[in-house]
Amino acid sequence: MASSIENNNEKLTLKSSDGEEFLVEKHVALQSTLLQNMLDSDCSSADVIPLPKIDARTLALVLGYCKKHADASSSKQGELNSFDSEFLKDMDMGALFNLVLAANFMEIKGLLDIAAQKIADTIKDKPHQEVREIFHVENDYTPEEEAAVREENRWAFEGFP
Amino acid sequence: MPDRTKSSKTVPDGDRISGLPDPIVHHIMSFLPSEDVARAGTLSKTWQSLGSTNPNLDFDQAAFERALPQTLSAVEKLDLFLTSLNRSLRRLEERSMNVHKLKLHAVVQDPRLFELAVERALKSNAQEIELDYYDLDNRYYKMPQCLYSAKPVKRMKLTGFEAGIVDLLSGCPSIEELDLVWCNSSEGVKFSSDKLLKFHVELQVCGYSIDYNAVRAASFVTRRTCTINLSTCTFLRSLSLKNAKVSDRWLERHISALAHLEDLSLVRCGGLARVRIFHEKLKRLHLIWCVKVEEAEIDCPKLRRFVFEGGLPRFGFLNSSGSLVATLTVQKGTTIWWFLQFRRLLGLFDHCKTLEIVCDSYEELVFPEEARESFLPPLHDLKHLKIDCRSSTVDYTELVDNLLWLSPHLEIMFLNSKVEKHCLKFQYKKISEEKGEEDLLCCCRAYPKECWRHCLEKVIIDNLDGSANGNDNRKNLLNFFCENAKGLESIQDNSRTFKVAEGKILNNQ
Repeated sequence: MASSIENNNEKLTLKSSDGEEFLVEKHVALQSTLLQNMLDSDCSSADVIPLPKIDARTLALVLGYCKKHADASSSKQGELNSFDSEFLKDMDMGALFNLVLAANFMEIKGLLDIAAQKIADTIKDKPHQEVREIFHVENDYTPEEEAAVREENRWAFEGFP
Repeated sequence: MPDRTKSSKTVPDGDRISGLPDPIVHHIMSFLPSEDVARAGTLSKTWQSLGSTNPNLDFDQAAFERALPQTLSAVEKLDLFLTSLNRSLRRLEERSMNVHKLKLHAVVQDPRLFELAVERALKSNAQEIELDYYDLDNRYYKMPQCLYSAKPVKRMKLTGFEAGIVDLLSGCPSIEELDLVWCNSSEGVKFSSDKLLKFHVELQVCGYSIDYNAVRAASFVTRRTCTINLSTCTFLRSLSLKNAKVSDRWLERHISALAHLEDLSLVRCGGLARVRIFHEKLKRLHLIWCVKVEEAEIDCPKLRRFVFEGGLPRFGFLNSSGSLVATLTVQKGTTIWWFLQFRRLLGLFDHCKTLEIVCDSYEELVFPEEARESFLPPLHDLKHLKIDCRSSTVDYTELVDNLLWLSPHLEIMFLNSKVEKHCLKFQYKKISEEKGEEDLLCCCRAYPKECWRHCLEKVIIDNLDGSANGNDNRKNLLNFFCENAKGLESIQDNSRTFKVAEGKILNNQ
């Protein structure tokens, strides 16, 4: 992503839902389309920008991602790819969901994609009973209803119990 | 701004995924194959409703019909498939929701049956259309008329069509990616466009002349002599040619014109004989089975990935970045002359970060005794070597002995065969200068540096994946290191560590 570096030293303050403040360089913040739009629409950068849905732990992760991607030029795509896969490697599901919500809210497409991909990888090729257990999805079908839905999608159950 | 309200959903506390906003769940689903998406619909009622509002439609007729009872006739099966397809489109229309992507993989008797579905998807502002029509008689289908004026479509992939590219591009002003696989077009293709960024064609045409500035990636698979002119696509980053009859001159002209090129892939380009690639920015180069190539010179200071498959051309030189990862698959030979050539080729990769050699059987890499006596090892400075063997390896000791002759100062050796994966790590100690003449084995007299036999201190063997050949192979390998590495002090085999002295394993801790 091309980011204008002319105001490289300008900083802005983001405030997490639990009240922690983060001082962020402007070119890092521009990784977020939401913040970019806010800055474009003349919000003074002296103000504190509250992010009421994102806790400090998640925001720190998000800003770590943004910083890496803002600082690396496009010529370092390979390095960014390996950063991305390391970034999510041992993350637990709870943190991953917080991250996907934050990326969606702040409109950071790259982060949204890698987090969504990671969640999708957890679902892929697993029997649906196992998916229910992993994500604690409660089965609210009656056995008859479940059989009917299954019948409608029977092509997808080849090789699955 | 995506919909973030979720009033209709009541989900238990532990179930965070069902509580995510619908667009996010749909986004997650877009990374899944259609079977997984369909199965997810049976998780719970919430998921069933998520499935019915999913804007990414992916329908595969063959997979769908395979699961239907055998007793149904072909007509009945087709009917059920169309019903299911149209039901999904209708659910979105009823909610006035947009289709994001329609992917349709169909075995087609009558393409008009699907035309309506494509039209409906376009009316619902589909941004991606992927149609893969398969015909048993290898006929090409007429393109659905509605695709010639598909205004919202950004990405289009078509398989099995008689396509008029020029009309298609003028009718689809938003198109950024066009992918034509197994399509036909009788006339030459000459066009310009400033929107198109990615372009992949496999067409039976006589010539392409593409003249536009925006395109970043172009890829061509041609099946007969065909002229390609891209020299004005100055922003091209990635170029891939398969079966293209391009000449040495063509390649040189394009390489110098395409200043931003980063990826170049040349597959089975039979017209190339002397390949000269001098490029400031090129990062990845694939040179695959261009069988007529006799000579190659590569000077690309940014090159980080090089994949070569084919015979043994004379490489004049290879200049790359220090972080080069190279993969070589070389047609095997048996003569001493062949080994001389092979050794010379390997020598060019002495300074790369990782060298990977792919072979059918490990014997291909075993240099004959006479060659080992008269040649210097080619890979003196190499630290990481990876061997990918397509058959199973029988005798590790012989292989390891040979690989350590090729590259006497390795730090990591990966051995992958069909059934096993091993990783060997080597730690060396500094040899003191005052060693007596008798300590210098004859093997190293002529070498600039002493080989592993003198300075190897510790070997770590990790059996990453299974061990088919059992203990004998391991034991032989352990003994081999004990007997040949004069200064060896310990061997770590998986998690067990053995002390070594006087060429023997001392204890078992």
